[in-house]
Amino acid sequence: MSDEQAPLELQSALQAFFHAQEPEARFLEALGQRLIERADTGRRAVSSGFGRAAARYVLAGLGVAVLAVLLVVGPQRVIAALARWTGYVPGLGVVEMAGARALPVPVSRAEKGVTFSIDQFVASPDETLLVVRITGIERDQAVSPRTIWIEWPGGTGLRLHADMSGPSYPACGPQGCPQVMQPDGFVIRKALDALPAGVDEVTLVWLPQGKVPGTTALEEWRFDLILKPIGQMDAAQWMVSSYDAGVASGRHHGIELRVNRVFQSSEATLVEMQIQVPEGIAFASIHGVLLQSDLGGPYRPTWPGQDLDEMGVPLIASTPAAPGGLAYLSWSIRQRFEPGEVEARAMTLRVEGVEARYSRDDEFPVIVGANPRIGDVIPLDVRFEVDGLPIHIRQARIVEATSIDPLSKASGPALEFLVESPVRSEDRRLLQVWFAPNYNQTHAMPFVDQRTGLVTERLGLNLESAPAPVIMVRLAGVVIDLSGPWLVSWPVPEMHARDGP
Amino acid sequence: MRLLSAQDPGVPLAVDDDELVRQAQRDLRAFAPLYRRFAVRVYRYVYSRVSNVADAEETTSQVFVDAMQGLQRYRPRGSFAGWLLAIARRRCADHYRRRVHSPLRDDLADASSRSPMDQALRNEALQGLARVLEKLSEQERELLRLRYAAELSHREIGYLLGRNEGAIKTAMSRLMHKARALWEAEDV
Repeated sequence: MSDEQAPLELQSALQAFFHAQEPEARFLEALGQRLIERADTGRRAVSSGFGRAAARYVLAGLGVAVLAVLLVVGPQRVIAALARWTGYVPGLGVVEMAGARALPVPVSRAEKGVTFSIDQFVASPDETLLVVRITGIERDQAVSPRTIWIEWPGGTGLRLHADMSGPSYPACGPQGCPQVMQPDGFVIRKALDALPAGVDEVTLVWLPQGKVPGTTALEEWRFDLILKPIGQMDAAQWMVSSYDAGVASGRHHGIELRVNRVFQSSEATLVEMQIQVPEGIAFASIHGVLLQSDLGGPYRPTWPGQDLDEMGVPLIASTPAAPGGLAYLSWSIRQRFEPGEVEARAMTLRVEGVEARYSRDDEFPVIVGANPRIGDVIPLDVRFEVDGLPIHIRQARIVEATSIDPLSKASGPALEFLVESPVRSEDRRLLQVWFAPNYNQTHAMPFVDQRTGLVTERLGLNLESAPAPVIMVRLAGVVIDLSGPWLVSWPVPEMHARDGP
Repeated sequence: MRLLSAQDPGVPLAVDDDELVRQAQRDLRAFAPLYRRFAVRVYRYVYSRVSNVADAEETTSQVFVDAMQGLQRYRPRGSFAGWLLAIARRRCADHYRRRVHSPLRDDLADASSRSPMDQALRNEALQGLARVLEKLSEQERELLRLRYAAELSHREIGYLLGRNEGAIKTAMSRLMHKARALWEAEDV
C-alpha cells in the first residue's frame, strides 16, 4: 500500500489537518508586494534586463574603460572612490553612500534623567535609516519604534520596512569587554521609505508616552535636523574605506571560515566573513577571535552590538554537488576589532573555537510513574554519539519546575537530567544537550562540571500535561565546542593602505 | 479566506516549475508566478512546524526572500519544490534555534492565544489525528508534513531527503499502515 492506496478517509483527514490553518489573504498580498519591490530593486541594481551574453560584452567594455581611467587618473584615487561607494555605519551596517545625506553629528536632549539621542540618520536615495538611543528609562520600559516618526515641510510619515529594538550596551573599555554586559539603555534602529529628493531639513518626533517623569501622555520631543551630503562630511565615525580579502579561508572540522570584505578606519577594523558548516550542524558560533597584522596586534574584538542589516541574515543551503554528497549551510558573520595599523600589508584572523549545534531527532522513554514525586530518581541508560563524541544520559530526577526557572508560571514537577561525556575528547567537548519543547517545557542553561565531565541538563517539563506513567522525551540538538584554531590570512591591497582614512 | 491555492488559476500548470525558474533567473520580476504557485504550500508546511500564525508568516517571508536571493544558484533539475522546501526546513530549524532560548513564559503566552488551527482541532476527528501524530516519530511526522502540508510528490521528497523515490514510497506505505492502525485505535 503506498500512501495513495491508504484509506481515503485517512488521506482526507490528514489533508484537512494540515490545511486547517491557511495563510491570510492580507499576508499573501503584502509578501507578494514586498517580493515584487525587491525584484524591482534587484533589477535596477544588477541591470538584469538583458541577456548574459550581452552583459559579458558590456562588462568587458567597462573593464577597458576602467583600465583607461586607471591609466589617466591613477589607480589610488579610482580605488578609493569605488571603495567609498558603500560604507559601514555603526548600528545600521553596510549602507549605500552614493547620493546619501546624513546627520553630521549625533543630536540629543536630556531631561529629568532621560536622554534621547539620534546617533545616526542616513537618507539614501533608496531608504531612510536611523539609530536612536534612549537612556534613563526603567529597564522593563520598552520603547515602541512607532512612537518615533519623521516630518518635513509638506509631508509626514515614511513607511516602515524594518526595525530592530533592544537594550543598548556601553562601549568596551581599554581592558576589553566584560564577560557579562549590562545594558545602559534602549536602542531602536529603523529602516523607512526614502525621503523625497531635495528634502534635507526634517523633524524627528518622539512621543515619550509617559516614560519621561512628569510629562503628559501627548507631549512630544521634537528635533529639527539638517542633513548634509555624505561627501561634505567628516565621516571618521563611519568606515568608508574597504577592500575584498580575495579567497582567504581556513578550514577545520569540516567547517570553513572565509573572510570576504574588510572595512577599516582609525576607529576600528570590521571583518565580514562567511561560515560554512556541513549538513547536520544547524548553527554555529565562533569564539576566541583575534586579528593580527604584519605590523602589530593582536587586536581584540570590541563589543559589536547588532546592526540593522544583520536582522534576518539568510541561511544559505547548498544542495550536494552529486547524489549522496555533502550539503552545506552558510551564513555571514560580522566582527569588529580594535583599530589596526592602516599601513599593514597582511592580516590574519585567528578563531580558537566554534560552538556547533548538531541537530538530533531521537526520543527516549522516561518512566515517571503514575504519581511522580519531587526527589524521585529515575535511572536511564541512553547512549549516543555526536560527531565522534560519546554522550550518556544516565539519570533523570524529578524537581520543582520553579527551581529550574524561578520566573516559570508552570509550577509542579519537572525533570533534571544528568548527562555524561568525556571532559575533553582531544579537540571537542560537550557543552549542552537540548530537548524538544514538548509539554510546555522550559530549559535552563546546563551546568557543566569540567572536572568530572558531568553535565546537568535541567528541563522544566509540565508532567501534569504529559502522558504519565511513561513520557517520551525528544532530543533536539547537542552543542559541542570544537577546538581550532582556524587561521585565515590575506594580503591588504597596497592602494587601500595608502588611501585609508 | 483563501487567496491562493496550490492550483492557483493565475499560474498555468502547463508551464513547469523549472521553466518558471528559468524565466525568473533571467528577470527577477518573473518570480511572481513561482511565489503564487508555492506560497500556500510553503506556509502550510511552515505553520505545521512553528504552530503559530505570526511565526509562520515571518518564517514564510524569510523563505521566499532567501529563495529569491539564491535563485541564481538553483540548477533546474525538476525539483524546485524540493529546493524551496529545503530552504523552508532550514528556516524552521533557525526559528526553532531562536525559540529554544526563549523562556517558558513565551510558550505559555503563545498557548493562551488560540489560533484557528487550535480551534479546528476542537473538531473531534482532527483531535484524534493530532493524538496519532504525537505518537509518530519526528521523521514520520516530517514525511506527513512534506506530503500533506507541502504537497510534495514522492520524487520531490526523495530529492529533499537525499533518498530515491522508491525508498520514499516504501517509507510512506509503512507509515500509512502505522497511522491507520493508530487512528483506528483512536476509534474516530
